[in-house]
Amino acid sequence: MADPSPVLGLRGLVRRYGEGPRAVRVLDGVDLDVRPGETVAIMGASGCGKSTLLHLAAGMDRPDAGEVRIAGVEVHGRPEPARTRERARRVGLVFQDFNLIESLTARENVELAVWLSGAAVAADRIDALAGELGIGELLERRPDQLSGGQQQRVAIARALIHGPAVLLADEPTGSLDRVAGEQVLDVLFDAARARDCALVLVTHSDQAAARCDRVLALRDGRLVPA
Amino acid sequence: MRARLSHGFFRRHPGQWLLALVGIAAGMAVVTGVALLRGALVDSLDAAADELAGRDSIVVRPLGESISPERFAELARLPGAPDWVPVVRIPVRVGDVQLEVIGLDGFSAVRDVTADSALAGDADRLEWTGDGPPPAAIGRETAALLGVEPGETLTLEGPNGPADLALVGTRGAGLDRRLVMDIAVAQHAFDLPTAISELLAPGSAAAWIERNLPADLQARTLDQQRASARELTAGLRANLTAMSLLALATGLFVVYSVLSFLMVQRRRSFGVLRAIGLTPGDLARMLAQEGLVLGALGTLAGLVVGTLLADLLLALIADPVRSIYGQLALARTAPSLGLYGTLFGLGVLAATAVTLPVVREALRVPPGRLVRAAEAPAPDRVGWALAGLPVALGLAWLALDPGLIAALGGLFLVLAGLATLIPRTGFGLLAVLARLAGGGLTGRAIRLLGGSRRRLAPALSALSLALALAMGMGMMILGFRASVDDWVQRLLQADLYVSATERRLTVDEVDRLAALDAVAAISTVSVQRLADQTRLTAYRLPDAAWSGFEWLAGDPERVRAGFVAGRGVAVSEPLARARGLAPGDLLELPLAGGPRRFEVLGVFRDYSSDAGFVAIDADQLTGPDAREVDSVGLYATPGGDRAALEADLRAAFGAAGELQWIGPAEIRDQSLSVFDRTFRISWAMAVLVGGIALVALVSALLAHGFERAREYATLRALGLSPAALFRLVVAQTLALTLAAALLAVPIAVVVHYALALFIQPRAFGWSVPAGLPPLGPVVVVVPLALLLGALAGLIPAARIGRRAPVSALRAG
Repeated sequence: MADPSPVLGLRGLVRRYGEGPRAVRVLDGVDLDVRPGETVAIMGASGCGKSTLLHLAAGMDRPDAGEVRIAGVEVHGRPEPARTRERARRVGLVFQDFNLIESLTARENVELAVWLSGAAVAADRIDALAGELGIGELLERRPDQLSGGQQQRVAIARALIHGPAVLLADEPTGSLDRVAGEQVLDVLFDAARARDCALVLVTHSDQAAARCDRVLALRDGRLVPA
Repeated sequence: MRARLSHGFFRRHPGQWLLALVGIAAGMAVVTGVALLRGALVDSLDAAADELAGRDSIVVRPLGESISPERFAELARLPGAPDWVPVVRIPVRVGDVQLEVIGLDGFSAVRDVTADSALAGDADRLEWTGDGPPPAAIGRETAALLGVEPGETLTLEGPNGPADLALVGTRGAGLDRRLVMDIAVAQHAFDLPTAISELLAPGSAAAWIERNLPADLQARTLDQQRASARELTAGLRANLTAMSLLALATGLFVVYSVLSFLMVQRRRSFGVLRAIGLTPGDLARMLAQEGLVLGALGTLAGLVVGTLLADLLLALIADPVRSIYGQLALARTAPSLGLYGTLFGLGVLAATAVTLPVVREALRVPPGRLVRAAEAPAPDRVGWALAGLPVALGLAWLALDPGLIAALGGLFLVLAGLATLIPRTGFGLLAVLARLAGGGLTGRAIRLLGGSRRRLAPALSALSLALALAMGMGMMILGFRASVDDWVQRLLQADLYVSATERRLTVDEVDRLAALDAVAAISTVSVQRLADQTRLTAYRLPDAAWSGFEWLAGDPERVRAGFVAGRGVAVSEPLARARGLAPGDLLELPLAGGPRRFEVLGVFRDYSSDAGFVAIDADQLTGPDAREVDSVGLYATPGGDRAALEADLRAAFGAAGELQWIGPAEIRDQSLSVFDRTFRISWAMAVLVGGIALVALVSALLAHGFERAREYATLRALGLSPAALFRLVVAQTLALTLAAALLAVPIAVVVHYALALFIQPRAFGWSVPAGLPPLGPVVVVVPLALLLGALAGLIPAARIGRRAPVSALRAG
C-alpha cells in the first residue's frame, strides 16, 4: 500500500534574520514530510531555529524561500488571512507556557478553537475530550485556578478539539516538572494517536523524543536524523 | 541599580509613561490655570478698591443717588470735619467700550487720601484753563484698548451727550477702563453740575465720622470695601476651585489607571526580582521614586500649560466679571514662586498618593511568581461597604452642614463611593452587552473583557467619572439656563419697559406714561441701596404683574395682601439664603426716615444677582425722591399691542431719546446673553474636564490594548485573522467605552443635581427647579466618547494586527 500523502510537507525551507552580510541563515533548506498519525521529534541546541521551523510550519511566519504544505494545501505563498484560516482549520498548536486566555474558563478556551476553525463540533465533544485528557472536572475553572499540568492539558484539548491534521507542540513540557511533564506527554501522544493526528514535537528532552516515530535534529539550518 | 531597572522599563514603554504624564499634567494644568485666575480676580477686586482711595482712607457714599453740593457744604462746615475729597463717577462709552470717568477735587487733600496712588501726581496736570478740550488722565492699558495716545483728543458718550477730552498720560495703577479728571471740569464737561458720587476722607477721621456722619450717608473703610468686593466673587471662585479639583481628580484617575496597567505588565519582573533577592523595601522605594519622578515631571508640565491656560480663562471671564461685579479691569495673572511651589507640592503629593495602592499591590507579588495574578474580586459585602461608607458620609455632611465646603466635600465623597461601584456595575453591563451581541466575534470580544476586572476596574471608573463630570456640568449649565429663561419670561409681564437715560423717571413722566391711551396699567420699579448695602426695590404693581413672582416660600395670596397693605416685605432667594430669612421673620431696614422693621412675607425666585434684594411696596417709602422710579412697565389695553404703545410714546415724548423703551423679548435676549457670557467659564471648565475624560479614555484603552498584546497574539496563533483581530479590539474598546458612558449618565445626573440643588444655591444663593435634567450633554458626549473610543481602539488594533503573532508571543 502506497504511503498516504503527507499532512505536513516542508521543501527547501530557508529563513534568514537580518540583512546583508550580517544576515543569519537560521533555516537553510529544510525538508520534511510528516504522514497522518506519525510523530516526529525535532531536537537541537537552543537558538538553532527549532521554534522558527515550527512557526513556519504553522504558517505564522513566511519563509524566505521554500514551500510549506499543510494537508496538501500550499501555505507559504498565501496572504496572511488565508494562512491564518488554514492554521485555524488544520493545525493544532501547543505552546511551552500554555498561552491560555486568562479571562476565559477552560471550556471557553477550548470553545475558542472550535469557533476560530469554524468546525462543526457538538457541545458534548468538549466534555468527552476533556474527560479523555483528565480535565473533565476542571472545565469551568479559569487558567489561574489550574496547575501547570492541568493548563497544558487544556491547551492540548484546545489544539485537538477541531480535528486538526497536524499538531505542532513547542516544548510542551518545558514549564512543567518531570512528573507533570510525563503525564502531559502521555495525554498528548495518546490523544494524537487516537485521532490519527500527526504530531511534530520540538523538544530538548530525550525521553520525550524517544516516544516519537522519528527523531530529527536541526543542525546548521538543516534537519538530519538524530 | 533601582534607577536602572526603572529606566529600562521606562524606555521600553514610553507610550504608557507618557499617558500617565499627560494625565497628571492635564489635571494640574487646570488647577494651575484656575489658581492663577483666582489670584487675578482677587488682585482685580483689591485694585478696584485701592485705585482711588489710599490704603488708609474712608469712603462715604449716599444711600440715594448722589450727594448734593449743599449737603457737601454742610458736612464740610461741621466742627472738626476732615478735609473731604469729593469724587464724581460718570459712566461713559467709546463705541462699545464702557468706561468710567472719575472726577476728583485736585485742590483738596488728594495727597492725604490717595497716598498709595500715582493719581496724586497727576492732580496738577488736570487743571483746565478753559482753552481746548478739558484734560483727562488715561492709563496706558486703557489708551491701548481705545487705540489712542496721550496728547490726542478723545470723544466720549456721556449721560447727557458727547464730550471731547484731551488725554494726559498717567502711570496710575488700577485705572484700566477709567479716566481721571478734576471734579469741577468733569461736572462741566458732562453737564452734571451738581453731581458728587462719594467723599473720601483720611483714615484718621474714622472716629469723627463714626460720631458725626448723618444716617443717610454711609462710611466704609478700604478693608470693608475689599472684603465686600471679595465676597461678591466668593461663590464664583469657590465654584472654579471645585471644578478645577474635579479636573485634578479625573487626571489622577488617569494616572492610577495607567500605573495599574504598568503594574500588571511588571508583575513577572517583580516576581523575578523578588526571587533573586530584591527586598520588599527596595521594591517599594523603586516604585515610590518612579511615582515621585512621574509626579514631578507631570506637575512641571501642568504648571507650564496651566500658566498659558490661565490667560485664556481670564479672557473668558473678563466680560461677565465686568458686567456683573462692576466696572473694573481684570488684573493680569501673576504667577509667583510661592504659588508654583504650593502647586508643585500638591501635584507631587497627589501623584505619589495615587502610586501607593500600586506599590501595595506590587509588594504582594510573591517571589518567583511568574504567572499573572489571580483575579481576586473583593467579597460583595466588603465591596458594598467600601462604596456605601463614603456615599453615606458624603450625604450626611451635605445634609448636616449647610456650607459650601460641605457641599463640595460631600459631592467628592459621594463620587468616591460611586467610583468604587462602577467596576461592579460596569462588568455586569458588559455581560449584558455580550449576551445581546450573541456568539459572534463581538460577543466573544466583550466576554474576553470579563476576565480582566481588576485590571480594567480603574480605567472604567476613571472613564465613567470623567464623562459624568463633563456631562453633569453641562447639564447643570443648560438646566440653569432654561430656569433663567423661564424666570425672565415669567417676570416680564408688561408689554414694554420704559426708562430714562442715566437718570430716574420723574413723577410727572410716570403720570404721563400712565395716561397714555394705549396703556391699560403700569408697574413701577425703583431701586436703592441702603446703608447696610441691602438692595431695596420698591414696586407698584398692577394685578397682572403678580404672576411674575415665583414664590418659593410663603402663601402667594397672603404675601400679596400683606405686601400691598404695607404689613411686610418679600425677599429674593439669594438674600433669604444669605441671611437665613423665612416667612414670619422680622427684617430691619435702615430707611431714609430711620430704621424700620418689616415682616418677611415670602421668598421669591430671583437670578438677577447673587446678593439678592428686598421687595417693598412703593407706598412704604417716603422722602423727596420716593416717587421717582427707575423704570415703568406698560401694559397695553385689551386688543392693543406694542406697536400702539410705541406710537403713543413717540407722540407723547418725541423721538429725541428722552426716554428709552424695550420689549420683554429683547430683555430676555439680553439676560440670556449675560447668562451665556457668565457661564462661559463654566463651559470652559466642563470642556476641560471633558478633555481630560477623553485623555482618560484614550490612555485606558491604549494601555488595555498594549497590555493584552500577548493574548491577542495567542488568538492570532490559534487562527484569528488580522482583520478579525482588528474588529475584536475595536469591539472591546467600544464596549468598554459604551459601558463607561452608560454608567456615566446616572452619575452625571447626580452631579447635575448636586451642582444645581446644593452647590449653586450655597455659592450664589440661586436654586434651580428640580426638573428633569437636560439631555443635550448626553447626546453630545456619549457619541463623541464612542467615536473616540473606536479611534483609541484603532491604534492598538492596527499595531497588534500588523505585528506578527510570533514576535508578540515572544515579547509577551
